[in-house]
Amino acid sequence: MSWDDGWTTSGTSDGYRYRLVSSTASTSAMTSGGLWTVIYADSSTVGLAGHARQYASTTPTYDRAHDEREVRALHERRVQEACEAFRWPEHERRKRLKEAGSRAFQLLFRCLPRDQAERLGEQGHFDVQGSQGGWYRIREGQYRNVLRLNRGCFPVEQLCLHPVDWCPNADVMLAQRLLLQTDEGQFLRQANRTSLNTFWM
Amino acid sequence: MVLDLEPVSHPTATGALCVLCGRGDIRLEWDQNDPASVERARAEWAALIGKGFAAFRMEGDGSAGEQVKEFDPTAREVIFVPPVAGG
Repeated sequence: MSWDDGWTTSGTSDGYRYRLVSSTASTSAMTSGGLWTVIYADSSTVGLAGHARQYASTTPTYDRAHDEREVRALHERRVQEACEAFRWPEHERRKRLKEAGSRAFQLLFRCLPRDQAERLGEQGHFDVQGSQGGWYRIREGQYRNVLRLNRGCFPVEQLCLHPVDWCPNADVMLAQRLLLQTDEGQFLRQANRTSLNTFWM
Repeated sequence: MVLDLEPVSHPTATGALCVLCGRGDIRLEWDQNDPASVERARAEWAALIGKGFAAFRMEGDGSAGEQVKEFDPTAREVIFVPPVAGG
């Protein structure tokens, strides 16, 4: 396989790019055309492309760019509202936001066990077990950043739950961890949930 | 919701409330041997719970927090999570 910035087109002929999202023996891929993951027992690119092509052709239309624009617009609006609520002058906002973000990360790292802190530092996410036994991956961010994992540790659902008023990303991630670990059922009831289509081969 | 809260530090702090908000966490410290600081923390606790915040007691060892409803002056650190909603 040859990877270009995490994406590969090797072995594909359908115009979709594939991204390796797991380095385990079972290879999974997320196509740029939709949130599909295809799991294989080996890491054959031909098999990967062939099967993913089969499923990709039946996917509903998913406009990732539009989705990302919406999230970005929401984030900017929330940050703006927070800055206005705190009455931060325009010229100070960047500095204040950076300070808040830095403080939030220090708190998060202080509250995480060593293995989760290391994982967060290296891979930008950490996994937690909910109070009902489910496993979740909390990625850096605050919108749609929580993934529910299945027994094979692959993401099957995307969850979005965050404070009503804007907080720095690390504070949101800490809140999500605390809420999942103490009341997983409540978290699932409140979160906005999106199923990720996953096919096992 | 605008939080009218300023950090409070105590030279011999034995406990602290960490309130998550847009300013990063705001830390309010108390000393369980200083009744005035304990009462101040207790009052802030009640105010935050009244605003819908959830309190989680942390042991500082990376373990999962425990949600608590009542103020305990012997707690080392309590994280207050603001009201959340699905996005």
